[in-house]
Amino acid sequence: MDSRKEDFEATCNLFINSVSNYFKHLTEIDSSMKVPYLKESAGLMLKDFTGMIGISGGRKGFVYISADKAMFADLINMFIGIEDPSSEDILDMAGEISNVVAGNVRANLGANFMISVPTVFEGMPDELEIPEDVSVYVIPINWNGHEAYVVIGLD
Amino acid sequence: MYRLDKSKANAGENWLDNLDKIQDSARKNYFSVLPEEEKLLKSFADAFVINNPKGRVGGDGFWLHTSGSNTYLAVFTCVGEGHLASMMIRIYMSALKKMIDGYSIDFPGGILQFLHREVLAKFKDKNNILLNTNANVGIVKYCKDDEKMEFAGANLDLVQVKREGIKVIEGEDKQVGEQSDSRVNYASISVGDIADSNFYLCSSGVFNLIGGPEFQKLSLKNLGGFWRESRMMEMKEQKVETTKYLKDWMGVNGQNDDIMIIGFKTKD
Repeated sequence: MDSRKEDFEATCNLFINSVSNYFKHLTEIDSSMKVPYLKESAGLMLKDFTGMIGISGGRKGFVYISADKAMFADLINMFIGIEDPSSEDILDMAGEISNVVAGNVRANLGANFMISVPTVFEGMPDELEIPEDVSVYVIPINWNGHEAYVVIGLD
Repeated sequence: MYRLDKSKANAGENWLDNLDKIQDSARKNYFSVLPEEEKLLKSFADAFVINNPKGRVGGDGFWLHTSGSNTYLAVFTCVGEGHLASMMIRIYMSALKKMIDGYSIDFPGGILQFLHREVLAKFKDKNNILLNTNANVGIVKYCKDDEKMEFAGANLDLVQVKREGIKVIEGEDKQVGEQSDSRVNYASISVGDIADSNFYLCSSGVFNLIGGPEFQKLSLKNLGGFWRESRMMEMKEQKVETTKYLKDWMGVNGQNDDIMIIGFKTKD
């Protein structure tokens, strides 16, 4: 296995573990991972709300966590006790989970990698552009009956 | 489900920079819920706002309300930081709006008590939540007609800077929303000598900034001394100089907490 592939897998595992730990420790409900797949063609799959983190340094790329409103609403109810959250609350929840995941990964990545503060958005922003030659790895996650995507793209 | 099509997947070598061009919607929401600085300038003779969250959003907020010749200004620091604290900002703003819409409470201590009861009621019986719902809050009431000012604080002080020195009008040592067996009261304190003074309300994070020659937290003595030296400057100039002072204080340590400072005066 070449070192770039090892790097890629190690980076993916860091994000997968961080997301999995987030659910396990903060909600006390385990998440389950469906079969991950490499998305060869250009294009991204996004659910309603997304927190996206940029990766720079030795390799460039991105990671995002994307889920529908219902999943973030469940988390808000659990964390804050708000039963009918606004869109603003949902965006903040998407930011919160992305931030915690990014922080955990930042602490474990080597010095060659830097990861950005997450950018949170709803839907598909016009400015979002991803080149065709980026390998995009999609990890579907199921938590509490909700499906979310953790998607990793590295050049 | 949204899907990025191939026609847009053509970003070239600097594609990562494009991530920075995407507007962070949570950040936009955070700033849009707070009053604009221009509104503050209409309420006082001169004023400034420094609001630098540590991340894209923060747990510091402020609220401004005018009724007749009375202006009410509140600064609050929600416990915690980041997105969850930012959610709490909206809850505090919403409670203040509820008070304005439905109640006629016009003294700062009463507003704090109202906030305290609202927050306790909202989170009553929600014992398993992960968020700390408390906040440090300072409220000023300024009456333009009779040139009087009152202040009440919940773990947040009002700093008054005059030629003669610095005076700290201390708030109560109790956060809003703090669970307590005893009844919580917040006193309204009358503020004197307001015409010749500059006033400052600071979020708690300002005094968590680490730096200076001895690598320690920024003290009110340091910051107040700086404001006393620069008290004759216009507020917009003070804003620039205060920002520079904080940056110099932090040096290479970087910002470790949310920062909010509101400076104002009642006479030119």
